[in-house]
Amino acid sequence: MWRYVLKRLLWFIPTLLAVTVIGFMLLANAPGDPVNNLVMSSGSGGSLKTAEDIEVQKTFWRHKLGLDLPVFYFSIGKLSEPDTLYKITDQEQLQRIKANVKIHGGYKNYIPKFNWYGIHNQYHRWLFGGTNTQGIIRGDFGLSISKKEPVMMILKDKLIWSLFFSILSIILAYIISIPIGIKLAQQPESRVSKVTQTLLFLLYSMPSFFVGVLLLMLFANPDVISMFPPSGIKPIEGYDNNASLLSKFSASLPYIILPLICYTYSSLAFISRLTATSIGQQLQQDYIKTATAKGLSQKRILWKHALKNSALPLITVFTSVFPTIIGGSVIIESIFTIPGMGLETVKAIISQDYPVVIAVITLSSVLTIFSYVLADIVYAWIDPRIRPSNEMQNKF
Amino acid sequence: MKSHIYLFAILISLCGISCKKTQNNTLVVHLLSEPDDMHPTNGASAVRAEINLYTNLSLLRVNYKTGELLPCLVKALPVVSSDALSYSYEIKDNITWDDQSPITANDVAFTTKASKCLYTNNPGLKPYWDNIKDVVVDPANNKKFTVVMKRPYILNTWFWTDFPIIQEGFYDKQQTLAKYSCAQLSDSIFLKLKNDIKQWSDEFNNPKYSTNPLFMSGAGPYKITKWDKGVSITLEKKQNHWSANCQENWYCQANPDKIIFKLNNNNASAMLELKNGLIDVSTMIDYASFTELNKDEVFKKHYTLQLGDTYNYTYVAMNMKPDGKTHKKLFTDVAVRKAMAMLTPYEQINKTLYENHNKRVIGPINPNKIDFNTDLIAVQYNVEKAKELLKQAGWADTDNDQVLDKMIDGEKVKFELNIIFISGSKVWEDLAKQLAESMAKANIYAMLNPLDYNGFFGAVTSHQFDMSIGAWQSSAPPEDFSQLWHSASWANNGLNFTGFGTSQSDALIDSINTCMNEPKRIALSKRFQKMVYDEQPYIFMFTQTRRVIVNKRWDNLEVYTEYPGVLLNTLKLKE
Repeated sequence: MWRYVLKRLLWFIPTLLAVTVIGFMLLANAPGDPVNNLVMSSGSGGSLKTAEDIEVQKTFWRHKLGLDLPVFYFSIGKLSEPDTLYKITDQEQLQRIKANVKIHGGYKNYIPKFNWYGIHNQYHRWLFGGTNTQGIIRGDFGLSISKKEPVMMILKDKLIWSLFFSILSIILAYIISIPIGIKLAQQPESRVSKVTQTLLFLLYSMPSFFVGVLLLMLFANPDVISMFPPSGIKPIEGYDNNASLLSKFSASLPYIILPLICYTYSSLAFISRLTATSIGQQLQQDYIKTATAKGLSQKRILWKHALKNSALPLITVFTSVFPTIIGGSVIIESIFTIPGMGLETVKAIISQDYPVVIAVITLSSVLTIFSYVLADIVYAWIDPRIRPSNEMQNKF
Repeated sequence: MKSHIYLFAILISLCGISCKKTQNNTLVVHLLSEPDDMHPTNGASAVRAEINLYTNLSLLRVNYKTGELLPCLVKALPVVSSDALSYSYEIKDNITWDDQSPITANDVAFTTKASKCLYTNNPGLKPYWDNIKDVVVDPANNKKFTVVMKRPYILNTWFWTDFPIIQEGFYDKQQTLAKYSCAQLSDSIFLKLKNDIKQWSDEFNNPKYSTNPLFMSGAGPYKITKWDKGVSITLEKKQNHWSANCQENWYCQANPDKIIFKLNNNNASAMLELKNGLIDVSTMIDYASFTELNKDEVFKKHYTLQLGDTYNYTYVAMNMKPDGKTHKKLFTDVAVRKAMAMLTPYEQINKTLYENHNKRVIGPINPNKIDFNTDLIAVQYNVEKAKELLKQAGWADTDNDQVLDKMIDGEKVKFELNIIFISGSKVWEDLAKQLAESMAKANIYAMLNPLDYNGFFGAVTSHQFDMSIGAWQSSAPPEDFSQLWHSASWANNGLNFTGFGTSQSDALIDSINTCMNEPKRIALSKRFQKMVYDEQPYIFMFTQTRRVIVNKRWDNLEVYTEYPGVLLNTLKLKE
């Protein structure tokens, strides 16, 4: 089994590299110029006579951020084009040059040319380090273009809150939805079951922005019930100095209940229905009848045998949650003012903060890969039939 | 059943916790977004500027009541040389940093050098410092100094209001920058040879100075004591601050013991926070929520709601110099641009989108500024007159397809256009829809094209648009028209999106920028406004109103046109 896991892990390294390359290329070709945004962020300031100084600034920052390098190890262009076109940062100037080359290039316009740039490129710098950066293999995701702070410093706190809500909500969803699913599977035709199924379906269909605002208007509104604070994740003056983890949690408890409901309700509804369907199928199997005939209690049959055999789809859902932890939830974070990854990612995309966006993509890819491996391991652990079949495949 | 009772009890106890309001002398202020950072030089957001009002001091400040300059760290406004290139100041006596060391001219020189140094992470702000040639400290008196400028410029004194003076003894203990001139620090070739400057800048740019309150030092009466990222920023009043003895000026006052800026970027929950009494001051809530709260009599018992003016304005820009290929020459004729202004349903827009709170702007200057040209008359909504103007300009529906057309450069061009705006703003989307509907009445077909910020900014600065919706922020200082209206700013892909500008208008802008005689400058400014008004490159829309909500437990409320509208340090807790 471990050989199988190792093989899967090794396969994921090129996958991860491919994802980062694609992400990097997409961002590098996105419209707009991040350095222009950075330098012109105050509306270019002062008199027009400073235009030359702005150009000096742009050159300096392009170099500092490594944006004056070619994007990748190589590029494929036309024979008629010079191989230093990447050095032209002004898009209008670039278009003019390309148009000129097209006019005067003749037959060379139709012959492709392979340009090799070596290791002095943006991707290599990001991966292995270079001027002003250590590279992600040393844990340095670089400097945020908009905030001019190390990327990991920006993401660290946001990641904690996103992890907190995602993990807590999925645990809650499983704790609540599995018993509900089992109950539904036991008596699928009962009136209670039908009403519950309808309610679950309704819950699943409701968008989070609607539920979020509804919860606020109902439970944080002095005109109705003012039971919870309307925004934030902790008391306004923060935690007491030297507060223990438990006291921090209890201080934050009123703040996290409404967002937690928002994070949980949809997966709760989905997992309940999934569990009900999956266990319902298992209850039709012969081994359940045998177990019943042997006199096993209903509880033991359901929880030990039926649930274990219907666990595969539940595991798939569980592992698919990991990548979403990094993405966060923009809508819920926005409604409840949660300092999470979702809003930070959107802000980074809008401000073309490449290092932050690519860090999010990379972390997301790592977690996706991790979740696949985890799913494979748990599948093999729960259902030994999966493991031998792979091992058999390896043998052939 | 028992478990349900327990659950209910827990929820009730949570309610007790959640409804805990800040009492005592702590002011809680609504914040829409966090500052980009709180580094002494490396940030540019408006929120940061607001916080700096209380934690830092500048050489000069704005007098919020009159809109004039006010000496702050200096004894008086500068003595200006006859060539308007030298500005002599003297720092006040007995003013100190937190460590009780005196504030001197060396701190001003250090602030200038740190801001101008190429290695400092403030690229967007460096152009503001460009005009400073040197800061010369009087060798006989370290309280006296002269700022030498490269060119005469109307903002040579005003620009100091935006930048706090920072402590050399805190940020440059080794006095590294003191060894070099301003010119050397801006020279990239020179800097490559100087390792000590690189070391200083690496330390100075360290994010700890941007985010960690322990590494922040300012001369203001408040100090940042806590920055809970994504939650709140806490300012506490300094004990024994020198300003305690000079309460006559607003920047010296420190009435609340604590000011907490609480982040909330959602209008629904911000409104609920106000209703719950969890926020004391908000100037940022949307129009609809403000109107709803204004109708709530219970709420009004506890809060004062007031509308205030701002220097901002919204506009619809028209591309006067399109390439004629990707974007047709629809707005090259002034008659067409005037027709567009007449096709705009101002009253309807103000009523439906801004709850009738906004005021019209007429030209490139906000009506709240002293140099506003009062002779200009606002263009009114008039579809029939607009149709007439379009007809005069040669636009007619020759093929009866309900869309105007015209022969331009030998080609039949239909009057079809794209309105671009930054996506995500419901107000701007509705504004664009209303414009399009109104244009349809004159057989003009407009499509809406929301773009993300980069797409929008890229399109307008590269002149790849027909019509765009936007807003400009302004402030009390005299207006430098070059950014938005100089033809060089169009050629350089700057903020002159429309292509407005002739040699005459450029010359006038240059004259205004160097005119140090205030009445003369105002006269020139009015002439320029008339020039823009006659050309109508924009449909000038509205100046936005500030929605001020303050808890009645606070007294001494005054609402100003200048950002942020309310000076938090001057609010007093009621007895």
